Amino acid sequence: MPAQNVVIHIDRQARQTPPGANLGSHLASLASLTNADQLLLEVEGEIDVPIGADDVIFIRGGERFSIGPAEAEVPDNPVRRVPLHFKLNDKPFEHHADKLQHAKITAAELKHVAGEEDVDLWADLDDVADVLVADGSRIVLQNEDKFFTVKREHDDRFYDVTVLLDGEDHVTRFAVELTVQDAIKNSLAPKDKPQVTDFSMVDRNLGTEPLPMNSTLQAAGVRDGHLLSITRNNGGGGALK
Amino acid sequence: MNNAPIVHPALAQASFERAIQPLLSRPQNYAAAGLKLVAYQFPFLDVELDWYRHGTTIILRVDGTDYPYRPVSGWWIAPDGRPLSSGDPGIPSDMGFHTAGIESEPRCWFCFPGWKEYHNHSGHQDRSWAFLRPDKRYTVLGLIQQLATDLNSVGVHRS
Repeated sequence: MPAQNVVIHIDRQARQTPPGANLGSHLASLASLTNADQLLLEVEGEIDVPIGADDVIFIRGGERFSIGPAEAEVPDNPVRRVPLHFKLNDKPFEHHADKLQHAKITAAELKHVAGEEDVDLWADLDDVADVLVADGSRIVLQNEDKFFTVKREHDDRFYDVTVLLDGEDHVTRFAVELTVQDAIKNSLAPKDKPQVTDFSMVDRNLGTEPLPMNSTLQAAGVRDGHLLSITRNNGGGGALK
Repeated sequence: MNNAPIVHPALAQASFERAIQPLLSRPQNYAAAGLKLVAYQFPFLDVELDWYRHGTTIILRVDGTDYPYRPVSGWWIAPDGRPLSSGDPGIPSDMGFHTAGIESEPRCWFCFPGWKEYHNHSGHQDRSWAFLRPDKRYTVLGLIQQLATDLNSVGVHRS
């Protein structure tokens, strides 16, 4: 049975959502945002934090969000006036405040700032299952957040790869049995997921040909450390419309 | 068309550099994907693209003037920086890769959404850059990555 929903407020309207890790795209769907709008986390005494579609925020209930114009001059990752007080491995993170000035940080950056590299980062969530935070996930930090690290298992269940999508490189972990199509789908922005077959993935460590969509990553030859480039099969050139 | 800058060059430079920062910071990741950083001095970013379908490479120049208010412009250059155009050997043609000059500029141009010449073209006035701009697919590096894929499409010829 899934965890009981909690109540958050978006544009002063009560909305229900599962507690724990929520993607920005999910929260946006609760408010039916258009491309002209953006969702912002209300933070008292600080610049409100825009919530991107791929940003992760740990919801406990009671969070308040507003809706602003997408073109507003709010930085994507605002600098904070007051350092955050979340916990990492049971200790306040304040002693790293000089290195952590923004409202969002990726799991990989957080581990780097903390001086821990070869570990997995977990979000320690009260009353719901803890979640592993992928290196490329960008977290919207809150004072109540708690994280812990465990030594990374170097087993053969996952591949740690770099994905290049929309010109951005992200370190990502894929299960070896994931199909190429599902790996692409997992990587795409929510709006593009239904058109997953319009995209292809090339493992540049193997060559230049797209990987077979129905093959598992393992069978396709993907391995740890490989670079996977995802692009549309056709960039839309050549035709006047 | 009047080519006077619209965006203050310092603002355009800041926006452009933020957009290409991953490439400047981690060029090895992009080189592994066939996008090799050659040089950057605002407003020009030069990237060598792997044109593996023809067993060669070609240098792309991206012009970030007025970015992001206006889309970036792009064309092929020789190693000495000279723009390539119709009549030069070894340039891509067809499937959106144009070799004849546009707007009185003797250089190639790209008829793909997100590139300035596409949006300047009278045939594309129904698809505005302002609408595409928030989409990550049309970031500077997103455009370059997609252009490299399209460059290697079947149907793109080498003169």
